[in-house]
Amino acid sequence: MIAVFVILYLVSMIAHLYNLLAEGKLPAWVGIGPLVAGFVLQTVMFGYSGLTGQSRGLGVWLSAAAWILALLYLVAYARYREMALGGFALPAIFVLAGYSAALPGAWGSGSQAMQGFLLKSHAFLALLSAASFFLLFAAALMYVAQAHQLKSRRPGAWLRRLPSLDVLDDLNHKILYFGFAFLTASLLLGSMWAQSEHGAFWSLDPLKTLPLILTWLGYGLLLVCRLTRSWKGMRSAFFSMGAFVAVLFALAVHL
Amino acid sequence: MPIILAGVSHHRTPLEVRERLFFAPDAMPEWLDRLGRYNGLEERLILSTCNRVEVYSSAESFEAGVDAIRSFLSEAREVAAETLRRHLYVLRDEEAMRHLFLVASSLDSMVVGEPQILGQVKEAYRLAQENGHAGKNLASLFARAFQVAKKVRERTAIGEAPVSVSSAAVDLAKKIFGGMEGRTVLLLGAGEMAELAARHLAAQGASAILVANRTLARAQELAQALGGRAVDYQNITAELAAADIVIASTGAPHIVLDRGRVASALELRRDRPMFLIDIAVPRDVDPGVNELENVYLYDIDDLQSVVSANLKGREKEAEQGRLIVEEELRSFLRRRKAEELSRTFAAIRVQAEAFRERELTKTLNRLPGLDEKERQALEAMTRAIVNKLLHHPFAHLREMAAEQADEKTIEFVQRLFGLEPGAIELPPPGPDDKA
Repeated sequence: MIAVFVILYLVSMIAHLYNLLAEGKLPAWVGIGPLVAGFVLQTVMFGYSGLTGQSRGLGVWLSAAAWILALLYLVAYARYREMALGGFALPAIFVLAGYSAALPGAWGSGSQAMQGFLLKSHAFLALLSAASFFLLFAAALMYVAQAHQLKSRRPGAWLRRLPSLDVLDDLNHKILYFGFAFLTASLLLGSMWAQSEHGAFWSLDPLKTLPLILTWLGYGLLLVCRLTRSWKGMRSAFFSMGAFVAVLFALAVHL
Repeated sequence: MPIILAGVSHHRTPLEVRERLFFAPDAMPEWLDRLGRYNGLEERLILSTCNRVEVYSSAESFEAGVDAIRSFLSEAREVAAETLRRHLYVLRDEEAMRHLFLVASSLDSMVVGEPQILGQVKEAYRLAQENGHAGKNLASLFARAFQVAKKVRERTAIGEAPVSVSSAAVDLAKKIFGGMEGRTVLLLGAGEMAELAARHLAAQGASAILVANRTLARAQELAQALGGRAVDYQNITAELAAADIVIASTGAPHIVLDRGRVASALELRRDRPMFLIDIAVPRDVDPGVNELENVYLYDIDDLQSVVSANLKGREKEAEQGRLIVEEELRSFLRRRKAEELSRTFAAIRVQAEAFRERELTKTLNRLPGLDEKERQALEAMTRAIVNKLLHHPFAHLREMAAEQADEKTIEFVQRLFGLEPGAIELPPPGPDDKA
């Protein structure tokens, strides 16, 4: 059962990568169809294991991350009809889902139970924001690559495979909104949980808190600059790629 | 019934000959009627474009059909028989079908992948069909050709990359700005190629077209033609900042847009990208402008190199397309063969049934004393003999048809059973004759 959606994600990944890297001309449904099927299946599995109280441990969170990425990419696809983003999203989805399925006892009972609604929502939103920032990174990377193609005045095959600068910049903008909102909400819930648990809004472990603050400040600054100084294009793309380093750092210390 | 193709195309025949053989589309029904008055052609269709003139036909006899087409072309277009002999290519059956599939898929075109040819083939077929010149042979052949063309277009990128300078510019603009809706285009100078590119962009939805030219009258004239607005050539700072796309084509002997001017326009644009197309020789835009962030500058050489790269890319896609054509051709030939075989089987059965009934009636008339049961037994016996006799050859032929039977084999079978080759029309294939 678990393996089935991992395989569906694998099929979708192959289709996306084939179109992106090998200039394939597969119709969109070949990539999107298995993804939707895998996503629905995984959703059902989450619902089932949630009801029977089986969902615990690291595996579940990795699996949730895959599910969230799939959801975000499907939303972006519905809006922009660009499969190129999937060339980045699907490998991540497949690796996360596959690794979580391979973990022993991923769907059984685990010891590291996340207790309480606050903590669970905090972690869920944190995953949402991390997934958003990953897609933001991918969009920014594609922007830089496409801009480079155009700038070179001798554009090659990538010109055709990647979306237009306009779409990529718009994608960058929209994902930034959502990712930042998720991150902010996650941090608020996290500090509320810390308050209820430890009696303080903020635990004082700098190793754990500093990357979060950096991430929030980084994307916050980018958002402010986009809104007030109408940052666009290359500058914004490079900045979003740089800020993703903070996200990786934050993920590393929290997992 | 052989399919015949006779024609000339840009590959081997110079324009002087092609233009003499050209048939104007308005008069096509009359030309087809005239061709129909030549004996020996069952069905006929004329495909006439600037690059090719081809007659597709099905005929009782290949030689007589070719003669009819030759006489028609030479008499109708007053072309010497000698000229025709030198230029006309004549293809039959499989070769003719392959040629049509390649033509319809734009793999035989001068600019491979150009989209017009399929429409022209469809139009030629429509004219032949509506005027009663295309029967079932051409119908199934052309229906398949349209399918093949669609498949080639869908499965390869043959028609995707643009192969003219102005459409390459529009294509690049789309890769920068996505859609053209709401974009502003500024023309510096009013050259012909600039006008063409501007028309393309306007057709894609560019909302404002500004024209700046040294002589204001020409700017106004062009602006009116494009539905845009003429602006002052000496003072275009504000317009430059508003322009997403600039097409420069002035006759000025020096740089018109230097780095400083573009940089200050960018300042006002706040990071919004700008696409500068410099098609002037000598160049209008300082090449250093391309180093500025969010600016994409293409001169005429750049655009031409994009075009030639795209042409090379099309060649690569064309190879893929030819493979698809071969695959489709084989499947079409297999289907035709199976259909021909089914028709042959059905005709043999009809003939055998006729013999059986005739002989049975004769016998029954000679034996008036038989009762109903005995008559039925005789009837059943004759039926069984016919079926048993035909069973083995049919089964064997079906096996052969799946592998190597060609038209010759089928003709041989028809002769063997005393049927006239190629003349089998009756009856439609029966349910048990599906090969």
